[in-house]
Formats: sequence, C-alpha cells, structure tokens
Amino acid sequence: MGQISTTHSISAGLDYPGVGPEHSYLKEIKRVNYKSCTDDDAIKAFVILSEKEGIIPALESAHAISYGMKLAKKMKKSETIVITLSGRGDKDVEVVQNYINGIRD
Amino acid sequence: MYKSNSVSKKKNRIDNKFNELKSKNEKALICYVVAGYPDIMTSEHIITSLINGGADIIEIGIPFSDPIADGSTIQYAIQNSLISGTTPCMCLELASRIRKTFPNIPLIIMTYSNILYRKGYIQFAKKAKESGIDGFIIPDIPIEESKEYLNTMQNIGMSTIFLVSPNTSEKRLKMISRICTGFLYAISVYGTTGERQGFDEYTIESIKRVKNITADKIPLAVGFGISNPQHVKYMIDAGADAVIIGSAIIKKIIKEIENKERLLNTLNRFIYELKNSCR
Repeated sequence: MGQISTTHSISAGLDYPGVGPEHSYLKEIKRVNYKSCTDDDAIKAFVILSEKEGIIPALESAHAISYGMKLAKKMKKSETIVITLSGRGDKDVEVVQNYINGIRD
Repeated sequence: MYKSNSVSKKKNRIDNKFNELKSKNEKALICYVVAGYPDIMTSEHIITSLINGGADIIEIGIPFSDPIADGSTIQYAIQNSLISGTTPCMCLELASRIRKTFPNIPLIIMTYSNILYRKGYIQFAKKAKESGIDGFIIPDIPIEESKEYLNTMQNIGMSTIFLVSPNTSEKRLKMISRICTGFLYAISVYGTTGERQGFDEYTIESIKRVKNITADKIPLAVGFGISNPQHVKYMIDAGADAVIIGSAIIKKIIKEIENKERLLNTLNRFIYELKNSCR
C-alpha cells in the first residue's frame, strides 16, 4: 500500500506515474479540461496527420490530435480548434512502425 | 537540557535520550536499517545487535518504490525488501517487537510521504504510536505542504524531523528549525545517501552554519556518507550532537548476507567502534 505502480504508455514522455503541480492546480480550478486517449487512438492520429498534412507529430502530441478529431465532429465547420504540437515525431517512427507491425514492447 | 521547541509540548523518548546523553557529555549514534532486508526476522536481529553494540536511536526504514533521497546502496536494499513482500504493516509490527525488548530506545520511522498519505496521516500515526514509534523522518514533505502532517504528529507527541542541506538558505533554515522536533537532520553533502571517500570543507562550514541557527534549541544530527570512526569524529568536532549511519550498515549486511552469525557480530563490533568516537 502506498507504493508507486509502474505505468504504460506508447509515448515515452507520458510513461511515468505522476502529475505535476501546475496541471493539478489547473484541473482543480477548472481552467483546463483534461482528456485521455488510448495507444491505438494516438497511433491513428499520428498516421493521419503524417499522411494528410505531411507533419509527423510526437506521440505525446498525437494524443491531443486524437482528441481534436473527436471534438471536431461535434463542432460547426466555421469553428476553429487550435492544437499545440509539443514535439516532432521522427523520434517515434520506430515505435510506431513496430506498433503497426504488431510488435509491441 | 535542550530547550523544548515551541511546537512540541510533550517530551518523548528522543528528547529524553538527547538530554541523558548531554548530561553524560556524549553524542548520539543513530543507526538506520531498511526493514525487511534481507527479511523481517533478520531485521529484528540486526536492530538488536545495533542496539547492543551501542546505537542510541534506531531509524527503521519502511521500503518505498521511489526513494528519492537514497543512493544506490539503500535503493538496492529497499528494492530487495519490496520484492520479498515487505509491507508498511510488517515494519510497524517489527517496531513493536523491538519496543517490547527495548522499552526506552527511541524508534523513528524513515520513509516517504506516499506510505503515510495512502493510509491517511492520522491512521498511520496512530498505528505507529501503538507500535512504539517516537518520530518520523519524511524527506519528501516540504515544509510548505506539511501542515496536516505536522498537526497530526504533534497532536500525539510524535517528533517530526526535517532535513536541511548545505544549500538550504538561511531564511528557510530558520523556518525549518522552528517546526522541526526531536532533532534537526543536517545532510552533510550535496546528493543522496551513500558512502563517501571523505568530506570537503563545505561540510564543516555547513554544520557550523546550521548549528549557529539552531544553537541549543534542538539537537543537530548529521548524516549521509558517514562510514567510519574518523568521519564520526569529524562531524562531532564540527558541532554535531548526533551522527547518522545508514549505507555503511547496509553495505555490511550485503557483504555478510550469507553468514548471519558473522553479520551480527560484524555489526555489533562496527557500532561499538563508532559509538566510542561519540564519547
């Protein structure tokens, strides 16, 4: 009891147990809405952005893109969504390729 | 006599021990063990041999998965203890067995905040009190976040020992020494626990600086990297009222793990020699 459990995420930058104090605070004051998505969702978003826009997002950012696409379906064509791409995905291509080929770590 | 800190009303075994040693003109030898390494039963024998060797105060380490203040030696022992299934509850049961054999020896829990937080500060503190624990060292509770912890512990007469390091500012040092009870834990070096070859001049300066602020309001214990009688003497000459030995004990346990009888004799002799340097 009280020990920190190990975590899993396809994205190395999210694969740790813990939430920083700034995020905790922003959530508590309801300034930010936090959403989650699965490894599958993130990979799908990674592939779509790469194919459609030629932009390879970092797997961390791919999580945001996945939610952005979900949200877009509920919004009007005239409305705009801004997504911050926090990093580039060339560092992740090997992980993504292995995942798509079915070799998970 | 140490002047009682304004926040602590009741005296406990730690305060009594420091006053007793002061009247004998001795310094305290504080010994740390990781509970459950190599196993709980052996921990009990190890602690017994440390006390018989001359340890004045025992720190029982409850193993935690992310021990951020600890160096590789203690991390190794903690990991092994967790793998073998040690729980906080087993550690408190160990404490109560030690308490039965040694009614007056101060027992302190050293662990990390999650262990207490998960069970609830009040519940954990009560259980610890029943097990004969006199105080806590929780290196990852900063003073800014310590209100609930402090209230809980001080309500039941538990000492709350805080750490200061060579780069703790003077302002912060004063704040910490106001809320710290039992003794103040001064880290001798930059970095984590673990044996060092020797100490730099800054260690001495740091101890003197802390001592200047705490004066005789609260005993000053120095720890991290102390592994032989010369180190003990060095810290005491600089102004320490107590020295804390941790990794050096664990190293001896790792080395003699195959031969329990020899291990217990080695520890007993090691502590006897260290305690001689405290007189």
